Amino acid sequence: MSIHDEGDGWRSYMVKPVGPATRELVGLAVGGQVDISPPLGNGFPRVLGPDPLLLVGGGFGIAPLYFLARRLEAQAAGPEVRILYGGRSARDVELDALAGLRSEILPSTDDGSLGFHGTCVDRCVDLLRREGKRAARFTVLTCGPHAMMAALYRAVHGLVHEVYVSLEEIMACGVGVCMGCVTRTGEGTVPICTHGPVFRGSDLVDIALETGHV
Amino acid sequence: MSEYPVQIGPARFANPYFAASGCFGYGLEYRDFIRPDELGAVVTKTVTPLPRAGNSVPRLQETPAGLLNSIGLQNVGIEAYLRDKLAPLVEAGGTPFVSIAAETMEEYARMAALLADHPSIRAVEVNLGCPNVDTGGDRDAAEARAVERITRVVKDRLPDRAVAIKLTPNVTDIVHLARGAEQGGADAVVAINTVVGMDIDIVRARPTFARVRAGLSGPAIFPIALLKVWEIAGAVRIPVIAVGGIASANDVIKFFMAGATAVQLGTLLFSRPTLLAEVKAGVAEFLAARTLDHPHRLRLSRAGALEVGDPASAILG
Repeated sequence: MSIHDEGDGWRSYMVKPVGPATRELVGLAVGGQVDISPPLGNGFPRVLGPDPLLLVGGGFGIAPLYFLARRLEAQAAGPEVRILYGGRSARDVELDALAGLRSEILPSTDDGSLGFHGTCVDRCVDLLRREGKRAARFTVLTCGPHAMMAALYRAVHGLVHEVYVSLEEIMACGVGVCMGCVTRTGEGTVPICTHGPVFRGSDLVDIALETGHV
Repeated sequence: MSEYPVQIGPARFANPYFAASGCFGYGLEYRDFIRPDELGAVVTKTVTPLPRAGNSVPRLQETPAGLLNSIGLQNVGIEAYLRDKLAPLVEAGGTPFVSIAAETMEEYARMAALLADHPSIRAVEVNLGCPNVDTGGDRDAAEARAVERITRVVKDRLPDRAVAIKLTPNVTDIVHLARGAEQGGADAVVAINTVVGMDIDIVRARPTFARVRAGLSGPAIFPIALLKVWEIAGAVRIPVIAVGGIASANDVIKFFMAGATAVQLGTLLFSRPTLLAEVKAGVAEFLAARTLDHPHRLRLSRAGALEVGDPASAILG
């Protein structure tokens, strides 16, 4: 789940029902109430640009990238933003979730049923190759399945300026108490809930090695 | 709100509601939800002689009424704990009940000696039988004589602090272990540690946790903990600190009736940080309705009746 959009006095969340809590959220009746304690942890960098950005979302990972793109588009003279959105097939790529964005949206599907035929990782590499030397100015921000993000990091980290990765893990407390949601970094094994969920890819040990969580 | 002070060995605590080890960090992480001074004591995340990185992820799996964990005692190590973590908890009004685990008698002796240098530490919990690490502790936890030896090594170096021994339920008879702790000079036993279990990832067709076994906590284990507390409280003279799946004031009342001197709130704090306030209010209301002045009045006789159930004796006591 992720913040998906916000406006004056409201905020929307995109929730995939995977367990009891998310199922309960999805099943809430209109007018239903929940107590929340946000914001926890660290999101994507507050300041981005002026160099170009690629937002690469796999499946449900698109949710926070929409929110990020909206914020970037609201900036005066904001950076060039392109969104790469990949899924297994057209059914998994909900372009409606990106409605209203001005940024260029480049869908891809593993089976070729929508947009580029291949993964969003292939699409990203293809795009960066076409950019030639300019690719080194790009920052890539990604959210999606761990294996996708690891493959993306390994494919592009040598080509671009920086890669930011939003990690997902089962969490019990959300405030760094239970140590359930950890990842290995240069400074040790840290909770994703407090130190992330967004990390610089270069700080993450397992993204580079394709070990740990798969 | 009434506070009910409790005495455990040489240590006095403002109330009998403690945070369980592993569920409250080093004491300040939850301060936006629960101030550490609202708790009788904060049993800290277990510290070990050296820092530990813990196990690989996944480390957690929710079950219908509980939580399986395979954290693997990730912690900063005792020296960094004493240098960086202890003072901020004390300054915030918290009462540190430091949880330790080691693999050898020498390590236990060294850790106890280090703790003895810090007067702000009122009590020490020895975490025996964590299911998520490969240590002698796991094996020793199941032998009453080893429990007795570990207890003596720690207590000898901390004569003026409360030393509590946390026991594993994953044995044939936990009462033997409790007696071992008592004979070793423990001021209290803590029952129970997590119950071992496992999970299987059916999509990947393999055990969910790299170490296969994991520790089950949460409401699923409450009835197990309640029986263990009942059995131990009937067999030893030292206080029993009850832990395992507390989800309501009624659960806490049941632990007191079973003979507990204090209780630890754990897994349910993750989903309900308001649990402490609910427990305090619920127990106070239950006692007030029966004109009892302290949760210890709730202790049942072995015949199953309140030992000091009538108001007159409560006042006299």
